[in-house]
Amino acid sequence: MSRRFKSYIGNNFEMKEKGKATFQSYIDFPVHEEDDKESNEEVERNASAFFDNLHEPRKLQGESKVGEADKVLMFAPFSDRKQGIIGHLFVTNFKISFVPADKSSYPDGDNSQVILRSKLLENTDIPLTFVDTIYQVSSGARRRKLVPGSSVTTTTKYLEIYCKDFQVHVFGFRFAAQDQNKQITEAIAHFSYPTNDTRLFAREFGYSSQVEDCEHPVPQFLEKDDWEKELERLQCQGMWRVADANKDYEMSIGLPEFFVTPMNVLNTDLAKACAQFADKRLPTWCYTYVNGASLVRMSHVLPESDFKIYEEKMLNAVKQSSGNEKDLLICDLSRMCPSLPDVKSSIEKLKAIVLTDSAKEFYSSDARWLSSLEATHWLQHVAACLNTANHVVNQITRDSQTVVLKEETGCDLSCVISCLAQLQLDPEFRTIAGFQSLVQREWVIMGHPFQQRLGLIWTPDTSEAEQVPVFLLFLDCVWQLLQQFPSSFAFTETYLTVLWDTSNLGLFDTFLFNNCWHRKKFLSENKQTIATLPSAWDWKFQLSEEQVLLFNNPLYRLRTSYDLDYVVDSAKTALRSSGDALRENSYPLLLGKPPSNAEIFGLQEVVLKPEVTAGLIKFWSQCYLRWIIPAQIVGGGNPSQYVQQCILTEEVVCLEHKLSSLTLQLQKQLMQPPHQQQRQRLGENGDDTEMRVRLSRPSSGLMFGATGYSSSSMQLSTMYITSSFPFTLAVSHHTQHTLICGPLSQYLKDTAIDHNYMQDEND
Amino acid sequence: MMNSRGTTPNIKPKGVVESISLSNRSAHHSSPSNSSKDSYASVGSRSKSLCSSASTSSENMNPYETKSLREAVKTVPTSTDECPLLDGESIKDQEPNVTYICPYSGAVRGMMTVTNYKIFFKSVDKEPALILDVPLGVVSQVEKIGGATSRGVNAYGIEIVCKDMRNLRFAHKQENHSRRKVFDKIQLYAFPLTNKLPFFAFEFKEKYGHGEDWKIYDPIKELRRMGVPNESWRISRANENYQLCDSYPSLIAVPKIATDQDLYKVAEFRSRQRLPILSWIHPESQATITRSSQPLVGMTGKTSKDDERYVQQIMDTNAQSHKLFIMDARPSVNAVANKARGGGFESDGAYQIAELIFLDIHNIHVMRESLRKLKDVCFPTIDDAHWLSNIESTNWLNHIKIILAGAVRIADKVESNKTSVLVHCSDGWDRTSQLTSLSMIMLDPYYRTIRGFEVLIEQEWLSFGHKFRTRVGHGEDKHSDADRSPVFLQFIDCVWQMTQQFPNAFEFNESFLITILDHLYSCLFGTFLFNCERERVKERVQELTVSLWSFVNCQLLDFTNPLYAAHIHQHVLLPVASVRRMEVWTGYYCRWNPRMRPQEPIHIRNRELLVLKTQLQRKVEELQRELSARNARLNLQPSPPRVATPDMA
Repeated sequence: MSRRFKSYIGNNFEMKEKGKATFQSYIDFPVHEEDDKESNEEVERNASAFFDNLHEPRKLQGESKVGEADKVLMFAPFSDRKQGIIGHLFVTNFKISFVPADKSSYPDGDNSQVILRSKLLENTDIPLTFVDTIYQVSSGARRRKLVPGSSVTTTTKYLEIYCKDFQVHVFGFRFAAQDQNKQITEAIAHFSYPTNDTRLFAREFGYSSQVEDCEHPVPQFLEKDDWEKELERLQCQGMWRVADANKDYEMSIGLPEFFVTPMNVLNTDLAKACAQFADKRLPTWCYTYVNGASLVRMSHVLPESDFKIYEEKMLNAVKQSSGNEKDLLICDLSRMCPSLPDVKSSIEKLKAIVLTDSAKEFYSSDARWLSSLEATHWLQHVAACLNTANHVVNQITRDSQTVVLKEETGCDLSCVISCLAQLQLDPEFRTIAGFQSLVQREWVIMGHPFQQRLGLIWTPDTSEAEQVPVFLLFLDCVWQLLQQFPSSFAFTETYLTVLWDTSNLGLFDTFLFNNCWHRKKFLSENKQTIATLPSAWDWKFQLSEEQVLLFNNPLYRLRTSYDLDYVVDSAKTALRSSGDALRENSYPLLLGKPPSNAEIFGLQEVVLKPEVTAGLIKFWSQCYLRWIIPAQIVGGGNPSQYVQQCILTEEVVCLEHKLSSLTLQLQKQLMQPPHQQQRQRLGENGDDTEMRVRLSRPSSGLMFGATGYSSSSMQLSTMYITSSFPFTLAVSHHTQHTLICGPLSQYLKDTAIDHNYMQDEND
Repeated sequence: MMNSRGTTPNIKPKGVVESISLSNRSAHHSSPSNSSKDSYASVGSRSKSLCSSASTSSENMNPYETKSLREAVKTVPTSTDECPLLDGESIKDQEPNVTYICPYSGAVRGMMTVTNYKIFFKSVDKEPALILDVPLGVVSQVEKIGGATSRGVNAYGIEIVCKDMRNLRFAHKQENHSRRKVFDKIQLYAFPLTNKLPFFAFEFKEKYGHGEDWKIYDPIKELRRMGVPNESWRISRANENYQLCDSYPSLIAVPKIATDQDLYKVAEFRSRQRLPILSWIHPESQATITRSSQPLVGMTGKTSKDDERYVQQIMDTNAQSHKLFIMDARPSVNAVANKARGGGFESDGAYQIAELIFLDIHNIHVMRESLRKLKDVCFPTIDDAHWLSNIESTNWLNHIKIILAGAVRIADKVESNKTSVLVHCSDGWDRTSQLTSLSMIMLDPYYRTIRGFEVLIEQEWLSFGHKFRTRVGHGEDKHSDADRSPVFLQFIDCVWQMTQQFPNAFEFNESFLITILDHLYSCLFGTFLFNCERERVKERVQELTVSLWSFVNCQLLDFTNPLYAAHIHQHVLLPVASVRRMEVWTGYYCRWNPRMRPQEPIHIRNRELLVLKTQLQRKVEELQRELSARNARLNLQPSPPRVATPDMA
């Protein structure tokens, strides 16, 4: 995972305050293109003064250093390369790591735990798998793209690294030694583009780390059992069966060993039929709705195939399994959705307008932002996918029609549409566990070629065209759903953004391979040493518990797990009576009173049908703009709304608990005869305490909630959350302390939670 | 019929834009479909009952919404063929068999009523009934469509162009002869000023709350809040009878050292005598925001020693800085061009302590044109394929951004540089009001409360002389008047942008802003009537009309932002003035289009969260009371003396 839950950008903020070199290591100097050589000696002297205590980057198991350079400048983003911090740049087989020379720039001084953005990465680390494009600027301002395999001939002045997480890093080498200059440039260029999967760091990592049989919080769908449970959950075992025709991948390397087919198709039929389909992706089951209508996916029949008859046969079988006589709806996704080249060109354009390191460019392009955004067609593609999914959902729910998604490859847009449709149909998939099992099943197991699409491996000729972030397109669609139905999903936008970064990290079993066969091959070729790689769904592997709390959506929590019934009634009355008070004013105030019988957190329909009008399809700022400092809202943005919702929810949970403990007390009193009560009341305080202990407050499971309360000692009073929270630092105007997750109490000054009460609990 | 928007030609002579485009756009009508499903609907729907309407539009309504609408309709205490009336309102004409051509749900037959306040339409053959409730104040223009010989369905009728981003189209049957009456009545009551009738506000007799809300803004109290008078600022009564400057309030705050005689001399050198006066003062640094109109420099480059000294005095009140920024809201070309008309800007030579910055905000004509384009893009339906580029081509967001950026610069100078800023444009009542009020919101959390915001509007807009009547065109039928311009709307849009960027920094919510805009046009309340304090005093507005704030303040709950966290935002808010962080305010500009509304608006959820919390709090308190009451009773029962407990005392 990539996330800088804390990042070094706090430093940048300092840098932004022009000329006030609060940090000694910030070297503030004017850049004159010409006098490169006559570098300011004083600056150099200052710079080298910090090299006495060099920090080595923290390394993971199997990680080894492959290059380094001294006296490298890491430029502050959007400083026009006029400000930066000097340090040591390391390249390992996993990451590019910048270690600031001045220890004071570590938030807590020398030996304290530097606040990590994750358990795997530090704030100034760039995982090599994130690297998208590298530009080398050599003297004379010549800028060229370092393509894999190209040799480095000129001396690097700046290295600009464009990353898949939409961040740009710029390093300057004017002070670096000549020999290191070339060496490190080559190392970065070389190791950022591994040419086959034996060169993936994951292999080294798998060799040397003992990933204990890691926990699988979600079903893997590698075994028959998981599929059968899903069929059982959807009560369609009578119509569909788990086929084992692909045992040992004899039939297809694209499909998993187990998949679900119509009940009455035999394994032998499958074996015959599969040859007719591209990549042997014959029709496989995705989902069955309560009315029996199902969702099925398949690839195109091969053009040279003479045996269209098998396609017919298969589809007939699907029809028989759909529980009614209706014709199947065949959705040809190549006509209804953007094609891979469409998505590819769209994301390239999007990156071109989003990725920038220059404030000047940022502001000069601002007036044309909307039309540039429109010209990327990204949002239109998102809308098209949502629209297709809406169509599928409508057919299934309204017409009880079984829908077959048909796509050329059968493993790209089919994944998007199939998942979207299931998210819209089934609330189960809107939980975190459910969502993960959905992605695991429809993407990972059904063989979305993550390695190719994410560009984890670079192969000449093919890589460029194959690298298409279909998964990002999907996450963006899910984000749109989340925007339109804010209390329907258990997760937050932060979860989705982190998931995107995680998929790019190239370390997890989940997103590393093109299909199950590929995975098995990778793992078994290294059989002696690699037992397993970590699963991305095991979030604790990379994140702290507090960080994981940021995935929880407070609105969803209240809506689903909190028993609202008895408060809802009185809340309704409250709403109604506020109307009554105004009734004397008659007409002017009446019409348009809030719907008095509206349910609090009333469930909208279980099936979600998002609007796809351009006016409601929004730009996912958190994901795309989080590193763009001029676009950062200090003290605002979605995170401040999130924090406030968490607090309100926390208060509700707290009050609810208090209410039940008071109710209990009251009942106890009522049940006891008066004398006894009296005796009890007088004397023993112990009883009271005992009760409190018994009723310790349930955790809300939210950041800023009680669970984070004791574990964090950070000060929130002067901190500001930014719109990029939790990816870049919260910046305070007053101190350089840059903290993100703090105790709830700091936030609760004017709120309803009773402090004494909380203290009582902690006693 | 819907395609005419796209083909609306860009009409050259500004004066006739609306009338020509009207016939061109005859196909658009609005349907105020509001559903009370979101908070402004709920809150707003109240105002809609006044100012807009509750109508259903069939498409795209979820059951929840439909239910609530029915509910809302049911509460109208009138029979089906009547229209509900306000106190002071009377029916002027009522026609059955009129067809309303809703751009979203098609033609609907029903009864049309015209009163001295509104147009009310209720469908007869639709369930739930579609209700239109349009205050005549929003009417910009009424036109007859088709003649006696017109053939075709619904070709004969009237078209109403509204100021609130919609057009309404009604069809009449020729044989009923209903059109003429309706048309005449609307003409008469929609334009009272033209017809020498009083505004409806003067007939409206409703009482809200304690009726004290004309007192919500007390200039003395406000100045005292900022610590004025103090050692460097005083309150001057030189304008007591508006003799110094007829568009300024009677009380103004000026540097202490300047005498009233000085003020007259300075006023002479400023356009319309609008000399620099105090808007806001920083509680710590004493840096100030002052506002004025342009200096009368003219072609000959006149100077005024008095004005220069006065500006110096303003700078001197702030000991922290030896400099003063003059923020000229205009693009520099415009400022130069103004010299030809006797205006201009402060020259470097004459004001050596000052640094002049142009903020590049365009004039009222450019803004009016931009809004006209925006209406074309937003109403009645949007073009999905080109939505963003269409928005960009209106330039509306760009104008909003530039205004915000200007205000950020002012706030930054005052806060970070501790430097005083003098703001002006040409006359100092349009762009200047936008800039001072926005920067004050950024600097002072007080103005982010409901009450503070009301005070801000009263002070920076109403009392300092933004010409509401002229800019909105209250009660006049001159729909193409070149003096009309959406200056105040832009300000509210800027505030909305800020509320979007800082979801927990403002006490008020979106429906508060929409309600203000609705009543900017409705002429139901006296608040926005007339151009300046002098006129309002003359017309006895405070005695004879109701204040909008009375209406607002008696239903605060509906206008409160559930996420407001006052304690977190005690500092300066600097919004990001970038289109990347801004959005078209579809909740206002596209609010008649049911497709443009989110199905599960997040502000509704937030509000529910708050209601839930309040409810639980109440329950907890009840129980606690009950428990302590019981305990008290127990303790009162006779008991052995030795057991007296300390907490009995």
